[in-house]
Amino acid sequence: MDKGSTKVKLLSLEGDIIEVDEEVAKKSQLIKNMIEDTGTEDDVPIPNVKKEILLKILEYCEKHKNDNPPEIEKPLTTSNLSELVDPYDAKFIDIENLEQLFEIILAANYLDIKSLLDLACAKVATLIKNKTPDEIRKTFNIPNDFTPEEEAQIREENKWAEEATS
Amino acid sequence: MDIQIDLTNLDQIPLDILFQIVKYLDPKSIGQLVLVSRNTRLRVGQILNKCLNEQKKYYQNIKEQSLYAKNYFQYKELLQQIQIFLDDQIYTEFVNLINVGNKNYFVNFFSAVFNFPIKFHEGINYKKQELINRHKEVFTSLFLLSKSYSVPKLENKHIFLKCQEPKLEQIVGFANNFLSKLSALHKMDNLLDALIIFQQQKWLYLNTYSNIMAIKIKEQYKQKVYYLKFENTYHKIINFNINSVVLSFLDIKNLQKLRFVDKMFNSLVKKISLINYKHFYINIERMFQQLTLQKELYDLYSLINQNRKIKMTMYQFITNNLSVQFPVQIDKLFNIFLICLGYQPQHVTIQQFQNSSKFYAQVFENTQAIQLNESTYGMLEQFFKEENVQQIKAFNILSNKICTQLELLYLTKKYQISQKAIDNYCEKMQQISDKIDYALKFRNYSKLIKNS
Repeated sequence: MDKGSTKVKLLSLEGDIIEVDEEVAKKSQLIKNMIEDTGTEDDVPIPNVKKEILLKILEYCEKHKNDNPPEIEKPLTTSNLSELVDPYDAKFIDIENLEQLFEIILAANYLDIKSLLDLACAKVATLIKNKTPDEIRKTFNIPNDFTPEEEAQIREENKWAEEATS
Repeated sequence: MDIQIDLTNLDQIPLDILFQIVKYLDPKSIGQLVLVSRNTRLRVGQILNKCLNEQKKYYQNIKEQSLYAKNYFQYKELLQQIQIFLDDQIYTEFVNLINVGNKNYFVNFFSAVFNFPIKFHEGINYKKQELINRHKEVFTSLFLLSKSYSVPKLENKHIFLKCQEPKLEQIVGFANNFLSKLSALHKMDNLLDALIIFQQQKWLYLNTYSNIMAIKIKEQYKQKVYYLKFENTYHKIINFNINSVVLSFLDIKNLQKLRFVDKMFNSLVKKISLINYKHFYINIERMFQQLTLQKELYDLYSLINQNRKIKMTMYQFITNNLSVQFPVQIDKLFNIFLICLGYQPQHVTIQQFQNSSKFYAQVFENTQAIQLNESTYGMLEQFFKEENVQQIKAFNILSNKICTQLELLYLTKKYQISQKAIDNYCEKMQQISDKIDYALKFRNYSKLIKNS
């Protein structure tokens, strides 16, 4: 971070202060609005985000402080995110811990950082794409409460979608 | 994070987040996802239904805004006529753009397509960049369009300008006729609407005329048939536009804009018939571009012009006993003022405000007295949503001025435009006005010479 640039103090869920360059913090629309209203002198409370997650998000903001990542193609054409986004972003979001990934999504949503929200949601989508329902259940910890008959019926109803994309 | 959510379970994450994820999935993957569990199926179904309903609502909205809807279909028709093929990506961008459901975006898209020179990477000053950022969708679409080989090239205008054929006179005649009809309406409220219609007409003329030229004079008979077809189409469109304009511009409130449109159209019509019309045409185009580029700022400019005496108006507002006549709305407005000034409504009454030199000084002597923050901005937004602002405006001039000023503050905040940017813009607008006034004077002078 540059010496001499204005600093902003962010107050995490645990009450810890994280000092960060204003331009980095302003990647969050929420923080940007707060700074514009109240200035940079007061601590900016981020009561919904853990310090660990906030630090991770700030790492992303620091990397992208001078650019806006291009939109990710919809729908995804591959489940390999590194083919769709910048290598740094792909590595950044390659998080095995699902809980942490969802925490980043919720925090990006709360902090209003669209590019990060898109990136993280696209990451989750790659975990769904080209997977069977069973694999999706295992990944996302969801119990199957369909009867075999119901499952067959839904498959039949959705056949058109498979045909359309096959 | 909210500890009640099991963040490892997809079924428990908020629906709006699931929506963001589903957007990245193709139909086949969505088909697999709905087989995961009843809850997943229900939630994904909700998302899809919501999308469909919004789509339906949107199209309903489009239908209701007949002018814009017709413009849209007319635009499509125009594309077909000149054999422009929009590939899927461009079309999706276009539909997405319209799906924003915002009239301004729609209008800006049209004006962008018909007006803007497309140079995004060179010499973009800060303000222009800011504008582009605010209309990202428009420019993205435009940029995509610009990359398509089948897009109408602005340079094609030279066909119109260089042409010396007798038909040119007739087409210019049609243009004059149309423009005089348009300017005779005297009820026009929206500059940009008029510009769109004009631009569409211009493209039609160019397209039709180039087709006529392509047929060549040696095929007299065919040309005549084509020409009749053109004339027929022309009248159909003229009639449509006039009807739409009448329907859309019944409100006569903004004569300033009307004057603006009239001046530009009249100047344009006059100049087209001059020998050096090509040069003039470029100038007019530039003016159109400037105006269109900054349409929103123009709205702000109009608002500023309507009321430059906020402090006096506020004082009048406070010292007039409006609260007796319109207790509910005025109380709300008064409370918003107080909050903007940093006071709690429960601590100050209108009477105290009237009698207090401290308050008076704060309003009159402190230029920064009125501050909008998230809270007051939210209150203003709520106020405009809840109250019928037009009705309040009708109550009397004072409350009208108050509302106008609040709207200005609201818009300034909404579009995050600094006072400096507005001032710069005002200055620029004044320069354009002066140029147009000059052109008009020149035209009148020419008329005098011609008649003498």
